[in-house]
Formats: sequence, structure tokens, C-alpha cells
Amino acid sequence: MSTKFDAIVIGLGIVGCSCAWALSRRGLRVLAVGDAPIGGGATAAGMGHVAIMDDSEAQFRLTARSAELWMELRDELPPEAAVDYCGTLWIAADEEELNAAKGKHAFYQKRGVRTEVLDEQSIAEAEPNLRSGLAGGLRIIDDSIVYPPVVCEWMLKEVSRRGGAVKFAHVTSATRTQVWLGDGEMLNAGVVVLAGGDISAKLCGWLPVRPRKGHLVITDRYPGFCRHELVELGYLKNAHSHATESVAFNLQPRPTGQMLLGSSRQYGVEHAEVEARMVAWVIERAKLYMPRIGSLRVVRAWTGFRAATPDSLPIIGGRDGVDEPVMATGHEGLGLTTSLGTAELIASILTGARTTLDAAAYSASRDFGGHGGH
Amino acid sequence: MRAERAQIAVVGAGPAGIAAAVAARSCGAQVLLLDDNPDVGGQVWRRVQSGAAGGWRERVKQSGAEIRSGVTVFDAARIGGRVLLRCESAAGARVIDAERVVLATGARELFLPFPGWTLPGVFGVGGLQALVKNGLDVRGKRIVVGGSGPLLLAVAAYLSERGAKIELIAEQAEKSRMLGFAGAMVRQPGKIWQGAKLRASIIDVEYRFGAWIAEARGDDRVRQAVMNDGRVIEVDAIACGYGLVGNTQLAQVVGADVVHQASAKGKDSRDGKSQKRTDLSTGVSYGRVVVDDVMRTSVEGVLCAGEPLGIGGVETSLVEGTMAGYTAASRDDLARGLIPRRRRERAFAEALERAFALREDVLCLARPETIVCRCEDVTMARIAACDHWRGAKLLTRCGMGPCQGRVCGAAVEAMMGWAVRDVRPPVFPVSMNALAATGGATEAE
Ligand SMILES: Cc1cc2nc3c(=O)[nH]c(=O)nc-3n(C[C@H](O)[C@H](O)[C@H](O)COP(=O)(O)OP(=O)(O)OC[C@H]3O[C@@H](n4cnc5c(N)ncnc54)[C@H](O)[C@@H]3O)c2cc1C
Ligand SMILES: Cc1cc2nc3c(=O)[nH]c(=O)nc-3n(C[C@H](O)[C@H](O)[C@H](O)COP(=O)(O)OP(=O)(O)OC[C@H]3O[C@@H](n4cnc5c(N)ncnc54)[C@H](O)[C@@H]3O)c2cc1C
Repeated sequence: MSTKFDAIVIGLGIVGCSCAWALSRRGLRVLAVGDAPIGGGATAAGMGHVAIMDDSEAQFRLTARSAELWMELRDELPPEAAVDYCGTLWIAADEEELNAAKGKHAFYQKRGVRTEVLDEQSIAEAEPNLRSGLAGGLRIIDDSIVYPPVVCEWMLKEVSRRGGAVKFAHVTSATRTQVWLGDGEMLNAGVVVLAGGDISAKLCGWLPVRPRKGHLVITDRYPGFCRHELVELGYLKNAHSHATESVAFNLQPRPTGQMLLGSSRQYGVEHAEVEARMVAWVIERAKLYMPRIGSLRVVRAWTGFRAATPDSLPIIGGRDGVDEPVMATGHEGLGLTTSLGTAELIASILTGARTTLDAAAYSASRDFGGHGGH
Repeated sequence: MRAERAQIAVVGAGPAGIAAAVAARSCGAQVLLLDDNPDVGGQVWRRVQSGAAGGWRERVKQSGAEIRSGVTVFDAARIGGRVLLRCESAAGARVIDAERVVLATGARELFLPFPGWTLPGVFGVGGLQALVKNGLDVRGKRIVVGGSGPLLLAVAAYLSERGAKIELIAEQAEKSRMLGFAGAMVRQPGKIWQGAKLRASIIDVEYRFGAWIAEARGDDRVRQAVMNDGRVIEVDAIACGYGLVGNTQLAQVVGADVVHQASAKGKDSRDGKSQKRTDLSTGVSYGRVVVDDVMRTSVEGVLCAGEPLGIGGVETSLVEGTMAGYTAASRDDLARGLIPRRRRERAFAEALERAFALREDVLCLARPETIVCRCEDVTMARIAACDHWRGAKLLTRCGMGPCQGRVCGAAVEAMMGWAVRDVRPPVFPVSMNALAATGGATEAE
């Protein structure tokens, strides 16, 4: 490859594709390199829920800014990207969870996010297949869903259109400006960005990123069975506890009438095999909220690996004085959502373009509490 | 859920599974025979009571094997030295924990997309035969039967016996290719799926080599079949099939080795960015389960027989089933005695495969706007823009619908030369309840 690139992005998942796309939009000639198909990796396995989250101020800012960027992109994306503003419904099983929902409502209201508290009756009307007797819930009105692999492909086409390129190869090592490929080839660029998802630490060993396995199943078509992305409020406890294994109810209506049901979280499992035990657990959990779901047919189950960090925030940016790539990894269960914000931040760091995001919160040099770093 | 113990579980009650059950029982083993149809017999003996079919049916019923019909095995796993089968039936879900398992899961049809194939009235050959066996009335209906292989004749004969008017049987292979094959037929006349008898019952029907259906035309349903030479035939239905593809999904899920060869030139087509349309004119072979000379797969305790090893027809399935049954019952010595017979059957099957190898023309019938994946409405143009099966799945959702690529996967493999091998459980759609109920079981009581 004789052409000199301004930037090389490692990884063709949603984070790598977003970074490549954002950089090329700002005039850089970008080479995107990956060893899996476009949109493969965790991106292919994930649910595609674009969710504004309130679990920390930093997570809120990144998800909210990303949601804005998704909204702006909405009309540019091809129809196969299947963007749908179905909203999220957080389900409160009891009074305690309903109070939590009200607290969240206040948080979101203060920050200009459209939300609505539902009581027992209104949640039953909103989602007739939920069991009766639930305390209520919180609707996040502008949350959406998208089919990520198609977005990845579209982004890389844009990159190519702007003079960039895509290369399928495994990267064996990388510095800030150089990349070595499996066949021995060495590539130079102005800067290298690592968006390798859960296996990023294979290239940069200090990264405190651990694979966290998840299981999902997809149903046959049942149009109208569920209308919003449904998530139990208990999900937050699960996502943030670092227990070895947990499961939370999470259901997504696809535009085809199919539904995606998740999800589990497991540390310490390396094989991607579908574990019957975990699938059973995911389904049992769902039946607690939607008893009728038991009779629906599943056409397939699969797994994926999230890139988990100790503080549940992604790692975005480079470390000063260390000759290693600029990082864009560690997005755990929100990388589809936060890919666009991440890319904006990377572009800002590398080109000085404006962003409202505060890089310090996601910095590679932050204190990970004894994990990684120096 | 507590798993149910079995010494030998046989999945599939076609000729291969029936023979396996009978052989294993004859050695005194305890046998459970599972099949998703209402009765034993598999594809070829479905609702057939006479002749060999009747004989084997009787034999298996007398054998003392426990027969369970209407049971779908949707997952298989090797755990703790045993093989677990996860099953669903109208009665509910079950886990069977077997010492040994024989996979005799048979084959399905290869359907290659052509313009108009999604019109109502266009069927797979075997599909239409099954519908008629289940009561569909074809009396007086004008039908063109097209595609490839001896099944065309079998089905045309069957339909004509049921009162259909067969307008034409279009075989894509050239007549010259049949010469060696005809020799084989002369030596072993009973072979070509009851060939001789079949020809007699459809003696007046035009049987053309080097002919294929290029397009189906119609409004709300099919009205015309357009042949490759431009001839237009008025029809009420089209039955089309390009041969068979072995059902290797369960074997793949349990982890057995499967070889994929996209072309008879011996080129292994891996998932990669490499080849598009390779030279397939010499024939396409799909995934085949690898077994040793007594039917053992690469997974201990799991045996395989019949069509998943490569399309072989009834006789091959019977021999291999018998061998697998013996081996499963630890009588490899008996199985070994059948090795020469199996070799002969397989040689015949390979001759058959060569004779009916698919020509490039029938792999290129789909136009850019022709639907290839019916579940997800994916067109040929969108698939052709991709580099490999996984990419096509990700970007177009081809093969991601309810059939999970059972139909379009083989067609895409044939047309694009890609290896299609990403099977995950459940191998058949199954209720959430069944998955939940069977997921916990890891050991028997
Ligand atoms: C079950 C599940 C459900 C999820 N649901 C959601 C959701 O609803 N909403 C949401 O926002 N997020 C969700 N996520 C998270 C989201 O999918 C991920 O955060 C996101 O896809 C990460 O994208 P990525 O590009 O960083 O990583 P990946 O998609 O994993 O891509 C990284 C790529 O880099 C390649 N790579 C790595 N190392 C090298 C190397 N050395 N050389 C070449 N290539 C390399 C890998 O092969 C891989 O293809 C979910 C995740 C899972 C597992
Ligand atoms: C549609 C069709 C029509 C055919 N018609 C003829 C014909 O008319 N004449 C002829 O000579 N040959 C015909 N054949 C060829 C036929 O496949 C073989 O000759 C012969 O039936 C092979 O026997 P087998 O036991 O290997 O497989 P099969 O007869 O296919 O038996 C396999 C059995 O296993 C069952 N099964 C598969 N997977 C599972 C599972 N996971 N759980 C439970 N059960 C399962 C299947 O439903 C089937 O009953 C036909 C093939 C097909 C596909």
C-alpha cells in the first residue's frame, strides 16, 4: 500500500468505523484495518439500543451527546440501518424501584431529556404483555434502536469516498504511528487509533479491559407483542455489580416483528459457545416480567463479548509520552450508543475540532483504582 | 429438569435411522428413536407402506426400540462423557442423556432462486410431493418439473399417478454426462431410486436434458414456465429442485468436524474476503460430516449415517445406518463387515453426483432484483455485493429469519461458492419454555 494515510484505525466494529468516519469527515485520509468482517465482533452481537444513561455524569454526557449525533445521522443512514425511535421503558417492579424511577426522571428533566413516569395502569396500557401488578416505570422518549452492521458498512463507504480505504488483516503490534500486520507488512500513518473492542488488551497489555460475555436470543415474528425497548430497573444493579454472573430482563422489538431478548453478563468465560444454562436463565428472568413470552418461538441464540472497564466508562484518547495507539475502547454494554460521541472526542483530540465533551472523564491516563495504568 | 437416560439415541427415523435402531437392537442395546415427523419413514418412506419401506417399518417396530415421533431435537452437547439431546414435542420439553448418539438427520432440498420463484404455485419437488402425500389435490393440474437429479423422475411419476398432467421434466444436466451413469444403472438397475419403474409410469412425458426453468411468470400466482430455450409453457404449478443437501446442523452444533468444499476441484472455500463465483461448473458439495470407517464422528460417542455424510440415497443410508447401529452397540466388528458394501454404494452415489453436477447457468438464474432470502426479503444484488456468508448475513440479514438459512444458505453456497457454516442452537425454532426447561439439565439422575 503506497498511499500514506493520516490515520489508521484498528477494528471494524462500530467504534472503529465511527472513528474512521468522523476523522475522514474532518478531512483526514483514513485506513481502517480489521481482522473480522465489517461490523463483526461485539457490534454484530449487540442489541443496537441507543440509550441515554444516568448512572454517572460522565456516562450521561457521553450517551446524551451520542444520542444527539444519532438523531442528526438518522436521515443520512440507509433504510437497512432500521432506525426506530421506539423509546425505552424502564420497568419498576415495586415501590422502591418506582421511587428510583422518579429520581431518574428528575435527573433527566433537569438535563433536558424527555422522560415520563408511568404508574401501574399506564405501564399496563403501554405494554399489555407485561404481567399485571408492576408498580410502574419510566419512559425515555427519544431512545432508539438501530441495526449496527449496516451503519458500519455505510460509514466505511463514506471513508472510502473521501480517499480512505479498508483493509482486512490482523494487527500484531502497533505504536502511535505504525502498525504491523500478520503477514509482516508495516504501515505508517500520522496517528494510529485502537478500537479493538474486548481484545484491545492483546495489543496494549496495560489496558484494564476485560471481556464480559453476553447471551441474546431472537424470536420469530410477533408484531406488536412489545412496543418499547423494555429494561428492568434491576438491570442497573446487574450491569454495575462486578459479580461473575448476572442476568437482567431486556427486550427489544425489531421492525420485522421479531424480538431480541437479553441479556446476561459473565466474566471469566473465554469461549463464545451458547450455554444452554445461561439461555434458560435469560428466559426465566423474562418470564417474571412477561409470563406469556414463554410460548413464543426462538429462532436462534448467540453470544458476544463486551469490553468491560473497572469504572464502567470507556477509554478514549492517548497517554502522553507513551508510544502506543490512541485508545477508543472499553465501551462495555453501551458501545453502540457511545460510538458517535467517542468518535467526536477522538476527532477533537486529533484535529482540534470542537466538542462539548470533556476528554478528562474518559482519559486513558485516569486512575483505574489499581487496575492497569502506571 | 432431570434428564432421561438412554443407552443409544438415534435422531431421525428415515432409512438410516431405522436401520441404525434395528442393528443396535439386534445386538441387545437399548435404543430410543427420535423423529420430528408423525411417523417413521423419513423423506422417502413417508406414508409408504409397501415394499422395502413396509419391511423396514415392521422390523423397527418389532425390534424393541422405543420410537418417539413428533419430537424435534433442537440442540446437542457433549457433557461429562455423555451426549445430551434437548428436545421439544407437543407434550413438552425433554433432555435425553445418552451414552451414544446416532445422527441420521437426512437431507433437505436445494432450491436455487430464479426470477418468479416466489410466486404462489412454485414448489420444491420434494415439497410438492409431501403436500400431495398430505392430501393436496393435483388432479388435472398442468405441472412442469425442473431442476436436477433422479428425484425429478420420482416426483414426476408420483404426481402423474395422482392425476397431474406433467408438461415437461427439465433436467439441467447434459445427456452426455449420463453415459457413464447409464452404465452404472445397467449394472445396478434397482439403484436410481426405483428408476426403471419410474420411467415406465411417465413414459409419455417429455424428459429433456440440458433444459431448465429460466423464469416463472404470473400475476397472483404462477401461470407460465419460461424455459432456457425461450419456450413458454402454460402451467398451474412448477416443481423445482436442484438436488439435496445433507442436514449437518445438529452434527455441527455438537462439534463434529464437517468439511466444506465449494467446488469439485478440491478448493476449500473458507470464510474470507477471497473468492466470489469460483468455478462451480464441476459440481458443488456442501458441508459433509466427517466419519471414520465405522461411522464415528470426531466427537466421542456421536455417530452419523446417511445423507449428512454426502447425498447417497436409500441404499447408502440403509448400509450406513446399520453400520452406525452396530458401532454404537460396540460391535465394530459387525460394522466392519459392511465396509465393502458401503464403498460400493458411495461409489455409485458419487457417480450420480458427477452425472448431475450443476452447470454454471443454473447458478446464475437469479437477476439482481430476484429475492434470494425469503424470510428477510434479501435480493441477489445485495448478496452479490458482499464478500462472504458472514458478511452477507451481517449486512443484509440474509439467513437471519425464521428458517435460519436452511433454505437460502445452501442456495447462496451454490451460487457464490461461499462456505456456510455458522450453526448455533437451537437448530430448529423452539419455544422459550422449552429452552428454559431444558437449559438447566447437565446430568442425569
Ligand atoms: C449481548 C450484548 C448486547 C449489547 N447491547 C448493546 C446495546 O443495546 N446498546 C449499546 O449501545 N451497546 C450494546 N452492546 C455493546 C456494544 O455491542 C459494544 O460496546 C460495541 O459493539 C463495541 O464496538 P467496538 O467497535 O468497540 O468493538 P467490536 O465490535 O468488538 O469490534 C472490534 C473489532 O476489532 C477487531 N480487532 C481487535 N484486535 C484486532 C487486531 N489486533 N487486529 C485486527 N483487528 C482487531 C476485532 O476483531 C473486532 O472485529 C452489547 C454488547 C453485547 C455483547
Ligand atoms: C424432500 C425430499 C423428498 C425425497 N423424495 C424421495 C423419493 O421420492 N424417493 C427417493 O428414493 N428418495 C427421495 N429423497 C431422498 C432421500 O433423502 C433419501 O433417499 C433417504 O430418505 C435418505 O434417508 P435418511 O435416513 O438418510 O434421511 P431421511 O429420510 O431424510 O430421514 C431423516 C429424518 O430425520 C428427521 N430429522 C432430521 N433432523 C431432526 C431433528 N433435529 N430432530 C428430529 N428429527 C429430525 C427428518 O425429519 C427425517 O424424518 C427425498 C429427499 C428429500 C429431501
